[in-house]
Amino acid sequence: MLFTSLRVRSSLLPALAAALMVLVVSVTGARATTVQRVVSPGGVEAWLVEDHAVPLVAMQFAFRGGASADPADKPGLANLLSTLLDEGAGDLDAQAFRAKLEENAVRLGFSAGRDSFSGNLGMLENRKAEAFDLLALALARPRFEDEAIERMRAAVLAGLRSDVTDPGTIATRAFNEMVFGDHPYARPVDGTIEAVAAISREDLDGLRQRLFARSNLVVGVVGAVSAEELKPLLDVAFGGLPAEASIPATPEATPVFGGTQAAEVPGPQTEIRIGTTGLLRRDPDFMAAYVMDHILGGGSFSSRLYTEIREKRGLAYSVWSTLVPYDQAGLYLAGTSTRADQAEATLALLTAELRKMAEEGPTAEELASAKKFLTGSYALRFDGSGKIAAQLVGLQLENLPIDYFTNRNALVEAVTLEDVKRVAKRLLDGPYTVVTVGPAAG
Amino acid sequence: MIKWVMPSYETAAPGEAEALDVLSEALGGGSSSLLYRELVAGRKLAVAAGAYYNGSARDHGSFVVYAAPREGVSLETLKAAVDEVLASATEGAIDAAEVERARRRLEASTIYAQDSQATLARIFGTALVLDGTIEEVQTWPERIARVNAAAVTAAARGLEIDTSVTGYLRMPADIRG
Repeated sequence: MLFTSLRVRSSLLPALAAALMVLVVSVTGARATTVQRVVSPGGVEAWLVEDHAVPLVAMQFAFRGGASADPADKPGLANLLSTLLDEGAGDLDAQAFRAKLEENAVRLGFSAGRDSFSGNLGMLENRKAEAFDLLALALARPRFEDEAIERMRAAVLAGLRSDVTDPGTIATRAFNEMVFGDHPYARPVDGTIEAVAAISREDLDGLRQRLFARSNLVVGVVGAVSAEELKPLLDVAFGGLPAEASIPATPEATPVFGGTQAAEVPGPQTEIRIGTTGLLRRDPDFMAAYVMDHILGGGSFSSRLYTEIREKRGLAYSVWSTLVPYDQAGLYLAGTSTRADQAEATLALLTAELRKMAEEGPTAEELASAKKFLTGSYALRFDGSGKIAAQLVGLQLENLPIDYFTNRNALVEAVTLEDVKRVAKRLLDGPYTVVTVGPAAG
Repeated sequence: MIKWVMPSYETAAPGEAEALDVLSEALGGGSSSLLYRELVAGRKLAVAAGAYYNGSARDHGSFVVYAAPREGVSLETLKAAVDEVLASATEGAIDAAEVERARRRLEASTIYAQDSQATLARIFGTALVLDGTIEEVQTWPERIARVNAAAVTAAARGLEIDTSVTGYLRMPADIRG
């Protein structure tokens, strides 16, 4: 299916690209559509989709261990680190570093997730050396100047202060604390006001040195670069990193479900979260659960939750559900927000739909329609090289096979009604953890 | 924020709208631009500063210059500094080298645009809905390449202060005080 997927992008782009630009884009017959495994002389591995449709290269990479590697008393450290790597490095101060990125039209960004710390690098075909040099500097020699640290700390703190009154964030934090207890997953990725205020330059550089290593690195590359060209570039960017990361392994989590918590926040609406058992990505039932979630509330305007809560009764603008496969725990979440006086009725409906799915599963028609949507829309995930590079990283982080793109739609097709019924029972049988955030009752 | 009504690609004389595109990039496109270098990096009066030109319109287009002050800098001080940068642009501060750098940044952004089908669709759709032609989209990079420093300086001279509208966003306390 990768062939189909990439053909969408590859067949349309050259025509338009040639039309848009004076540059001549040479299209030489069928383009390689397979994912290659590339290993540099220094031992850095990358998965590569070589594609010369546009004279660009997109790279995405990730170090396993993101916010979950934050020290217990310093939640938010990885997140603050992610804001400071492009604020000057080596001999270049922040302004000079940014000017270099712009002069060379290099796009560089970093972000901290719960289980990984990721970065992306975009460049024109003729600026590969400059782009990889700048990335190498950012990873190995960031300056962490006081001015930059204080500026980015102020920005993060401003966000955390506004979160204090944001019902969605309050609900997420309360939910994670209830479900995960003392586990690192209970701590917010962007930290707490007290912890972020106390983070020092030494904390930041310490985490950088422990986290950025070759042992926990995965890389995805898409675009106008061959395997042979890419190898030395990988060593430029990553070859100088320590061989082994020295961060603690995230302990296995045992989420505990059940119980209700209500937080009072003034406002017209009540935010509702409901959560229960999910699956790890490697679970054999994961694809069946993914299809089940699509039918229940995962991603369309015709899901059961959408139909019952929004279309039939007008209780909410939006209602959703999703599988959350962390490295060490799986969650299943659903939520919505509604006028405060309708919150109780809406929560009852939401709960009833989860129970109904657990008891009865979907109909054969619902399953057929979900498969058609999921397989048909898969190609839309491949309409940009950055998106494809991100997926290459995702596959490696989840330990999925290198030919996953090719086989993914067959995995969806193979899901049976029995599979979905079994997994619905397995996940949605309860107990449920419920959090509501809204104005005081009455 | 200072805004001017300026010609669009529909209403401009040949080359005029292209010069405004290059002017907006040189004056206020990112951290290599004149406004950013002078006000954010150099004099440290602003936390953000830039410019943009909207030339995709059936009738007039618009040109905007914006800046947000650093803590402790008054809007009046910042506005005076913005005016100085604009005045320097009318006197040739955007020279051939600046124009070349701006042109290269615009060229790079058209290459990045090709990586997104949605962006390409929007570019062609916008042109066609304004009675433009596919050929006009195709030849835009060539026309941008022909813009020289004299044309950009002339475009900057069109940004006369008495034809603009300036808006300030203040904290409520500032108004009361």
